[in-house]
Amino acid sequence: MTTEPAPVTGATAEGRTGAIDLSWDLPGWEPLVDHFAIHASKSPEVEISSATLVGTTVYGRFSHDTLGPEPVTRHYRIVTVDAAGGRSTPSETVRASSTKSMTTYGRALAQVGEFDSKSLELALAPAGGPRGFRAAFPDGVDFVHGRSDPGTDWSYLHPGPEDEWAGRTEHTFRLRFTLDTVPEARSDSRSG
Amino acid sequence: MVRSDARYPLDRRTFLTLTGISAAALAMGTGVPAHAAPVNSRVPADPFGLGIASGEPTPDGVVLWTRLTPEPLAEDGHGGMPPRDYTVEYEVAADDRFRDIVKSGRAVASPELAHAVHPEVTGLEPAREYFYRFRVGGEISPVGRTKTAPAADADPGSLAFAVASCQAWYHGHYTAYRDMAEQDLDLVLFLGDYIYEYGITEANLWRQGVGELSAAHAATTITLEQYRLRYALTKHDPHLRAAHAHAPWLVTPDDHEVENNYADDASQYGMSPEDFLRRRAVAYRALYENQPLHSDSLPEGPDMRLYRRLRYGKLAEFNVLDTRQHRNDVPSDGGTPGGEHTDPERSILGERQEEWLYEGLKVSDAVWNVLAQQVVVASIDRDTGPGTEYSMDIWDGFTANRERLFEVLTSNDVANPLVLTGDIHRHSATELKADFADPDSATIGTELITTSVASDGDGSDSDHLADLWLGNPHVKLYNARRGYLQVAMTPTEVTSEFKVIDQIEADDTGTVSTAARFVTEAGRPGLNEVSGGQQ
Repeated sequence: MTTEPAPVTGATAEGRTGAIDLSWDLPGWEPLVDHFAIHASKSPEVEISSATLVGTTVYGRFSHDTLGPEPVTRHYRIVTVDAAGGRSTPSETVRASSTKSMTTYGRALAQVGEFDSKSLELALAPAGGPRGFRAAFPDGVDFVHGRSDPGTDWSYLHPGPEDEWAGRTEHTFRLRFTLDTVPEARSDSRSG
Repeated sequence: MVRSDARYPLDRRTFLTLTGISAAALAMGTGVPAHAAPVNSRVPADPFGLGIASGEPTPDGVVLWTRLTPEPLAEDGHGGMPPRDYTVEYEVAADDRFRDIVKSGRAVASPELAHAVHPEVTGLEPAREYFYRFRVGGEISPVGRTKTAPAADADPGSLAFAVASCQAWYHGHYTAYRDMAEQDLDLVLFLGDYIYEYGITEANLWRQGVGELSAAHAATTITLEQYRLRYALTKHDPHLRAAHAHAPWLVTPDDHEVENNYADDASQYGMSPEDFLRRRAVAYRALYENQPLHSDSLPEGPDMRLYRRLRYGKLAEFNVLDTRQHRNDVPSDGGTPGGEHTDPERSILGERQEEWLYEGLKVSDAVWNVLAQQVVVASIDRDTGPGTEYSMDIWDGFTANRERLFEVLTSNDVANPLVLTGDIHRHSATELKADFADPDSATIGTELITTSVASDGDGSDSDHLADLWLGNPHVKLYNARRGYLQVAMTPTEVTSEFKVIDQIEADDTGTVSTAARFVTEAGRPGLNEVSGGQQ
C-alpha cells in the first residue's frame, strides 16, 4: 500500500576532532518524513542494517560524535523513512575523516575523565544535572587534579546563562593542577 | 478501496480537490456512513490496546477516535500493524448495550496516520448521552460513553466538567483519572503536556511497579516514531483509557508535546527554525493521531489549527486557545520593567488568533465565557521582596496581549470571563485584576489553575514556591499535590473543586480528597471559598 519516499540529496560530510558532521537537503512536507536513518561503515560499501545504524533524526544534519581521539574515516548513506513506514533507497555515499586530537600526541598535564564522547564517569551523569546541579555545585565546580574525584567533583555538564533549569546564571568551573615548572610556551586544553 | 493515491490524504486541500469529499473523509479516517461490509486483510489480534475516545462535542455530533495497535509499544511507532490500510467500522447507540444503534459508518485506518481513525459523527440529538464502539475484522473495541453539547439556543441548567494537565507518565500513576472516570461528567478539558519529550531513564522514572522499559524509551522524542511510541506508552495506562472512554474531551497541547518552552518556530535549545519545524511537524502529526480531534486540526506540514470555539447552549462558550504555536519568542529583557516583554507588538496568541478570540467574545451571549488555555494569565510577581520578577514563558511575558484581552473583556461587558489554566503543576486560583499592582482595582474575571496529573511526582500541600505565589494578593489558593479540577457550572454560579491525591509514585491506590472549594457567582467575578475542603 505504501510507496517509497525519495532519498535525500545534497549530502555532505565534514570531519573535526572526534566527530564527523553530516548535512543534507530537507525534502518537502509530503510525504511527511518520520526520520532520516544514518548508516555508517568503515568500508565504502555501506550495508543498510541495524548494525550500521548510528542515529536517526528529523533534522537536516547529524553529528557522528563518538569517534574518539584518533582520526578515522567513515562512509555514510542516509535512508529516508516516511510516516507510513515507507523506506527510501539509500542516498549517495558520502565520506569524511575525523581529525586527530592533540591528546594523541601531546603530553597530558592533567586529565579529567576519558576522551570517549561519553560522560558516564562524571558527576550527575547521565541525567542528574537538571535536578542536582544547583544542590551539588552551589558555588560552581572546583576540581583539584590528583585529589578530586571526577565521579563526584566534576559535573558532566556545565550550565550557562541560557539554562533555565540551572537558574539562568553564569557558573564557573575551576580545574586546578600543578606544574613542575612554568612552561615556556602556551598549553592547550581539549574536552571530550 | 476508495482512494486513488495513498500519498494525498494528508494534504487536505489537494485531496478534497482531486477526489471529492466523501472519498477524502474515508481516506483521512474521518468516516462515512456504512453501506457494504468492508473486506480487510487479516487483522492482528487485540488491536484496541490504546483504547477509544471521543471529543469536540457539538449539538449534533462528536468526533470518535481509536488507533489500531496490537503491539502498542512496537518501537517503530506503528503499533504492530502491517503497512496496509484497514477499514474500521463504528457504531453509535443510545444505550450501552447497543440495542438502539443510531449511527454507524466506517473509516480507513492508514499507516500514514499510524492506523488512527477520527470518525466525525453528525446527526445526533443535542445534550444527549451516547455509546460507541469500533470493529475491525472480528475484533470489537471496548464501549465508550460520550455526550453531545446542548442546542445553541438552549438554556442548560448545569454543566459538569473536569480539567487536567501535565501528565509526565514517568513521574507517577494516573490516579487522577481513576477518580475522574467515576464522576458524572459532560466534558473533560485537557490543557497541555499530555506527553513529555524527555528520555525516560532510571533518574526520572518515579512511577513504581512498571517494570523495565526498553532503550527506545530513554531517547528524547525527536522523530515521528519516537513521538508515536511516547503517546503509546502514555495512552496504554488503564486509568487514562477509562477517562477517555467516560466523556468527550477537548484537548489542547502546551510545549512538551513538542519541546520544552518552544515559541512558534523557535527552540530554546539553539536549533535553527528550519530544523525545529521538522520536529514540530512530526510532533503535531503524532498529536493529531492520538487525540479525538476534528479534521480541521489535521496538520499541514508544521502547522496545526488548534484554536477553536465550542458552545454549550447559552450557558457557556469554550474558547480553546493555542498559546505556543503563534507566540513571539522569549524577550531579551528578562522582565525588566518597561522592557521588551511589554512591547505592544508582542503576542502570545498571534494576530489572527487574537482577532478571532476578540470577535467571538464581543458577540457572545453566553453566561460564562471560558478561555481554556495553557499558561497563567494572572500577573505573578516572583520576587517576595520589594523588587519584581516575572516569568517570561507565561502571559507576564506578553503584557500588551493581556491588556488587549482585558480591554476587550471590560469595554464589551463580556459576561463572566473564566480562565482555565494548567502548566505550573500546582493548584491555584486567582482573581484577574484590572491592575495587578493595585489590589483595590476591579476584579474582571476568575482564573482556575489545575495542578498536574503526574508531573513532579507526589508533591506536598505546600512547598518552596508557596510564599512566592501567595505573596500576590490576587492569588487565593496554592497546593502542590497532584490531582485535577472539577467544575460544576450553572447559570448562577461556578463551583470549583480542587482535588488532590496523597501519593502517585508508589502505585495507583492513592486517596483522593478536596483541597479547596470555591464559588464564583455570575455577575460577581472572583473567588469565594466555601466549606468542604481540607487545606
